[in-house]
Amino acid sequence: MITIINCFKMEKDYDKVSEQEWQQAADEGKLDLGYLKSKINVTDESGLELSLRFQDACAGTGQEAQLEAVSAGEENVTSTLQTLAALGYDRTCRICNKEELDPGYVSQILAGYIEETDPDIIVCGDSSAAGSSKAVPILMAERFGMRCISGVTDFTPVDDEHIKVVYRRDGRLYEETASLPLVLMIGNVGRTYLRVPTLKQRLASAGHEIKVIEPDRDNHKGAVITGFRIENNNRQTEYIDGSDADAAARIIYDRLLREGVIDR
Amino acid sequence: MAISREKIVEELKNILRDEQVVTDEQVLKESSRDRYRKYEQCMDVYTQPIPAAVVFAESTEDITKILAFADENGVNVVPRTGQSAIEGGLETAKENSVVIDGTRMNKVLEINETNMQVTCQCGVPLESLEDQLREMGLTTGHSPQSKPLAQMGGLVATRSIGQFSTLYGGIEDMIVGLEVVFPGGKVCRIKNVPRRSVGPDIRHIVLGNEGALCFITEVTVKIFKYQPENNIYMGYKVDNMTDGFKVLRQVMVDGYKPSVARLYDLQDAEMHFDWADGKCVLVFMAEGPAAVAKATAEGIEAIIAGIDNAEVVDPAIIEKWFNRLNWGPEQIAEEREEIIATKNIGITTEISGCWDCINDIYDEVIERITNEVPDLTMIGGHTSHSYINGTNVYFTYYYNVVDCEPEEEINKYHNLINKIICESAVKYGGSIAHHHGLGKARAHMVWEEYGSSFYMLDTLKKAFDPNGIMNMGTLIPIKHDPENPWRF
Ligand SMILES: Cc1cc2nc3c(=O)[nH]c(=O)nc-3n(C[C@H](O)[C@H](O)[C@H](O)COP(=O)(O)OP(=O)(O)OC[C@H]3O[C@@H](n4cnc5c(N)ncnc54)[C@H](O)[C@@H]3O)c2cc1C
Repeated sequence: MITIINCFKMEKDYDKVSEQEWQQAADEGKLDLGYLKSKINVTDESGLELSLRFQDACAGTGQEAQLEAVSAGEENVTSTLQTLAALGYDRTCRICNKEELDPGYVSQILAGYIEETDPDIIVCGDSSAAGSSKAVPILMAERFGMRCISGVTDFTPVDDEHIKVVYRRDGRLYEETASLPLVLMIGNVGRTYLRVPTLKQRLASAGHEIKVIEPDRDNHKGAVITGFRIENNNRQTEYIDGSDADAAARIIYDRLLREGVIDR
Repeated sequence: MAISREKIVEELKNILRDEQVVTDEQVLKESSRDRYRKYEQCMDVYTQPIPAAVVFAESTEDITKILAFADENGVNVVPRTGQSAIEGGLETAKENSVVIDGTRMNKVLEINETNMQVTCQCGVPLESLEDQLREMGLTTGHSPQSKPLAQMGGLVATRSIGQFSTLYGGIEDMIVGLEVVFPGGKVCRIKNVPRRSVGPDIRHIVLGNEGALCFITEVTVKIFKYQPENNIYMGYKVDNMTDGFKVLRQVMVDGYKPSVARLYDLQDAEMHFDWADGKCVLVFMAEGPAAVAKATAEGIEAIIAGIDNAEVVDPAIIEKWFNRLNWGPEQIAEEREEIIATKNIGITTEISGCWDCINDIYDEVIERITNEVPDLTMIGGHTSHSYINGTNVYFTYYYNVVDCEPEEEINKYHNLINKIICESAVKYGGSIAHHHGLGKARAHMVWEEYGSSFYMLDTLKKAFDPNGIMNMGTLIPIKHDPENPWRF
């Protein structure tokens, strides 16, 4: 039996915010998104769907996968957790969180919860639309001494100690049979929308209980963000004409050598 | 003997410039259907006869020549403009049809600020017309969710209705005059007057004809002062649909005319809002001169005060949400991606009924669809257009396409759901189509819908299109199996 914990985050769909609103937000210093519906962060959503596909794939091999989903958030997370339960997630958990917590604190709370479960695989999205620090999965991997693979686009069962992981690095896809336990950071995977449960599946999972954790705020050891400062907002753009990425890299490399920015 | 495909193309090229006659395989395939077959569109499956050509008309004269040729040679034609049809109106149901595209007839001919009316060709996109008018402080008052897609000819041809209908009405309340071309090439112009009493209102032969009687080349619609600064948005949560219907009815009966009056059931509300908390949601917008908007808003508030447990929603949330309701090409592309990935598809069917039956229709449809449709993932609905005597319900449903070839999806799911909705509407005395038209999908219920008045529709069709060349299968079906009317 392989146990998988998926961590996910609900967030507003920033693509739906108009240019005019961004401008207004910049002028007035606040962006009110109360009217927008929240959705699962896109890479987290891929992770949730890939875990279900992993479970489906197990069914054909005689293996078994137990799925668990956890999210820190407000009440609106509840309906997503119910959806996940209807889709076959065996356990779900909501960590109450009214404010946007810093990644250190989130990983601390998650870690506390995960420690109890002792999963074989922790699945997180690579980034989120806002505050894309990519820190949560890395901090967790560090905490548990687990290997962390980023840019993951797929993972499939091998045996109880191994899985096959496909991941993207520098524009290339790699496939590897990796030993468990693992933290998988799901990258940009096309067409991995979360499947939709039928009303019958929802009805069948109506008795599902979501575990709710109230974080102990007094015991907050994570980093505290005290303020932001724009370091440098200048950007310069130049088109490099190269027939492919290697040729373009060669042009940049030669130029940097010439300008003395780097040594050979 | 039927004229061959090659001959049709050859003759069309004699009538028009070569460049106006398109025979590109992909264009032809995509022109054989509309969003009624959304799943087939997503899966790149084509089940309808592929047309012989798509012709891009540039003038009334072009249309005249095309319709004369088609009539003489028994060639079925399918008029189109914005291609946002969702009930099969654009399907080329007969072999070797010709699709007549009016999008190049896209000139705004006159904006008359004295008479407060605008005249434009059929291919004028509503959104660009509306943008132009708003810059002048004017509006058509017409705002269907498909505003970024639909064009004036199609909007008239389908008897469309916009989101501000409770104040401005449907297109039938806005239309002033028209120019149309009938099979054989006869051009008719209906002049622009405020009202007249000279026999039947012949505009209604054109309105809603769905391309099955004539081609609309020009339309004149009313325009209004655009004064968004006076808009007042309102939102409320109520316990159930019965309370919601009660509020809507009272607003109408008391004589208030908010431009927007919508009621979402809890499933539909959950699709739209994070904050519905398992309740139904009422949305209103009052507009017009400041004093009128204010009085309308106050009247609605007073009615709401009489409803137990009604909760007020922040108007700013409602305003921002409402301004994002429209669907353009971007949303359609996004939806396509999701359908391909999940095989989960969402569709809508809209009906109408008087106040004394609308709640019954709503309840029965929800119950029957929940119990009878396999692989259903959501069924809900909202009402968005209310009248003194009743309202509409716009059912929204999603299902997973399971163990089913793309060609069969329409029969296994979509038609089954349409059948249930139409049966309930007819059973309680409502109408099977509030604003999307009968198309070819719901044409199979035309006899039940019309009852004894089918005689009038049939007579119109026979009189204006004696050779059966105008969008055959639309309004009145041509392939109809009385034993299995919903199996296409
Ligand atoms: C996302 C979405 C939202 C929608 N929302 C609404 C809504 O809020 N309200 C509403 O009423 N409808 C709505 N619709 C339906 C559709 O947009 C309308 O029916 C619209 O009026 C069609 O206009 P069109 O220019 O796209 O016509 P098309 O799709 O090109 O054609 C529609 C029908 O009209 C006929 N036709 C088109 N042009 C002519 C012409 N010049 N002469 C004769 N017949 C012609 C066609 O043969 C066809 O039967 C929606 C559709 C979509 C996809």
